[in-house]
Amino acid sequence: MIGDLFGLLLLDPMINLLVILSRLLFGSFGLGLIAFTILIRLITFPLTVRQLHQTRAMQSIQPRVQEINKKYSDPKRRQEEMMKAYRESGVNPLGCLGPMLLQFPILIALFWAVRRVLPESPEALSALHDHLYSWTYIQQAIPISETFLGMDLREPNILMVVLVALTTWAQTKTTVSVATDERARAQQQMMAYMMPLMFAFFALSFPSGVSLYWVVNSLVGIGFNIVTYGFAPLKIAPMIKVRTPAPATAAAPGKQPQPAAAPDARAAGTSSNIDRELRTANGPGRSKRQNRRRRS
Amino acid sequence: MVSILILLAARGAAIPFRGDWYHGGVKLPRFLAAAFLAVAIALVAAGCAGVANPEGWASPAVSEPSAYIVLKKDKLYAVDLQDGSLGATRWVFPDKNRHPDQDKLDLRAIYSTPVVEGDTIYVADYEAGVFAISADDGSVRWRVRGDDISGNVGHDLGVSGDFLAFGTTDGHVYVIKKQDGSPAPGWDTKGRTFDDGIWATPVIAGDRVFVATMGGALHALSLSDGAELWSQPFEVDGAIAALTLLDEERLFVPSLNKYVYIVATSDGSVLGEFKASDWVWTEPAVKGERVYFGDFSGNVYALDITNGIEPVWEFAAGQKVKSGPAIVENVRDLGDVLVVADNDPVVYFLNAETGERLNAVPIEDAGRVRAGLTAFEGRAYVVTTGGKVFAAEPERLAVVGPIAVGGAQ
Repeated sequence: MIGDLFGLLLLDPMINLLVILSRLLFGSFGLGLIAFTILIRLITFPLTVRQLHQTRAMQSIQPRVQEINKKYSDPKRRQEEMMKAYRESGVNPLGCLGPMLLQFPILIALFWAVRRVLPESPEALSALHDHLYSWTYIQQAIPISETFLGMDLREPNILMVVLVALTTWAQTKTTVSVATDERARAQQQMMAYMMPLMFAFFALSFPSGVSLYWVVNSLVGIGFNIVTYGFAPLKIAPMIKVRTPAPATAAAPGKQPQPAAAPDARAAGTSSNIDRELRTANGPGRSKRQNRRRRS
Repeated sequence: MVSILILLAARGAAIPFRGDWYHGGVKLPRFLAAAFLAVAIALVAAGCAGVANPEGWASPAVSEPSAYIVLKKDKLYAVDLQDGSLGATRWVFPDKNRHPDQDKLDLRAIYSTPVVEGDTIYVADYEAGVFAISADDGSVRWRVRGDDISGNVGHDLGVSGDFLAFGTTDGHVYVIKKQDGSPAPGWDTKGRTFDDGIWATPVIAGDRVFVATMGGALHALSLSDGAELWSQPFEVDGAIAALTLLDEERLFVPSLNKYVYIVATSDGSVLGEFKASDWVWTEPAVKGERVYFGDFSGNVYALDITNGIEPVWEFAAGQKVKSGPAIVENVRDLGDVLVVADNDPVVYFLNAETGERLNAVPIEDAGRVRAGLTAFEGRAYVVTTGGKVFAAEPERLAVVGPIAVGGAQ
């Protein structure tokens, strides 16, 4: 069942899209893959922007997070206060994971799509037939050449393994850290090196076509990071200004939490910003009337 | 399989997930991690199920008093024929016990129908090269090593006179001497190179070699030096994965663009074309001026090729038809019977004249049928990817088997 859905909704469209792009781009599967990667980044752009908002929001409440960390020694209570702080600031702690989680089904589907579009045996070519739409344009594109820049995109390639590691590392380096306490920062430092090694390890057994996707995806990610966060080592300032919620102050135990100030929202005066302000002032997602009902 | 993986994923839910590397102090809920893991594993498993490794699809070859059958993808069995039926296995190739020199012979998959010429059998493996084998005991007479060939061999060997021809997935065509496997005069060890892979059997006819590529081109080469004979190749918008010589003047050229063409051997001109419903990747059965073949939509066609192409009848089988059909002639009370096996597999008995379905017999638990059927002594032999042999008997409209071959069943 899940396999059928996976095929119908993800794998087959991906296979056919790759075939179309490859045929459009001079029959080169490598160029088709690059175009596919850029297309995926464009489609997921709203998610990426949302991730950026969430990251900025996370940054803005870090002082409060630190305060909570210092204040509460009981992990359960600390967790509760932390979640409360996130809720009050309109931050979804999992919001930053959206684009990252989306990468996994895409990667899994791409792994199989590459193996199917570039068949390694007559049986595999015969099996590819079952995944192709009956459009003449697609049918006439088969088979697609598996070589790109001298690489067999069906096989792992050591150059691609190195590039996967380097670009993953570079992307991690250009990503803004939201952690303020030492422990989290240390963990992030470790991940900055573990992630490239882990993906390089995967790339050792992946078709180099999948690695090519990862490399291009990382390069686009690096570009996006530099444009939005800037890059201090090269003295590049952020080119996009993103609206962030004002930092929420720490709530004293037993007291109503202070509303998160949003001067920029007030200044902007848009209805959505005013709504956000009202919601925040009356508690998360509640109006004054709702509060009255709750009290009664 | 998938359920086991999902169970393992559920077990993963019991493992604390440290999600605080990204957001200090926030833990990713376990159920989310478990659900994600389950979906990921199921997707991986779903993908695993469909990837095809080389399995081979060689048709059986019959040369009395023996039949030569490829089973289990990389084993060639020489089987005695007794009154038209398969009998005892005489030898198996490769057999390291009987022939120590075959100890390190690592075959991958055989797509080439064994060619029987006198006391020698010629066969090609997908990766290991081309072999000349003694019909008496299965010993290797000579071998063109896979390392000396650029690419893989995924089709029948072309054969004529003193020469064998084969192409590779890398786009190389080789013509070699039957005698010792050395390059034919005018051909070198690197063969002739084309831009696209060659998955169709190169056909030798007289002093010409016809080569079809997956780029959709059909070339006529001189057997003596490999030079192009036509002013320009015959080209179509679609890969050509099979090629059959109908007679000295005509070639049967099916394509993945859903068309089949009858092409003149003299100059590459099209004598007729016919649009099927889907990919055509098969060798046809030929009787007089009629050709019979199936396509990937499961349709079976009879075409009259007296003048160009005229459709005679069409029959809808249930599944994709990759294997070439076989005609069993002069069956009592039925006349000529066309035997077709689809991918399911179901064996169909059709009246060759009218296309009327006489019977359909499903084969259970035997794998797929991709190899062409071979007609002999009133039967059509069917080899499955599960390494089993069946005999379709049009007289009884029944399928017998699996037939025990060399302890293979």
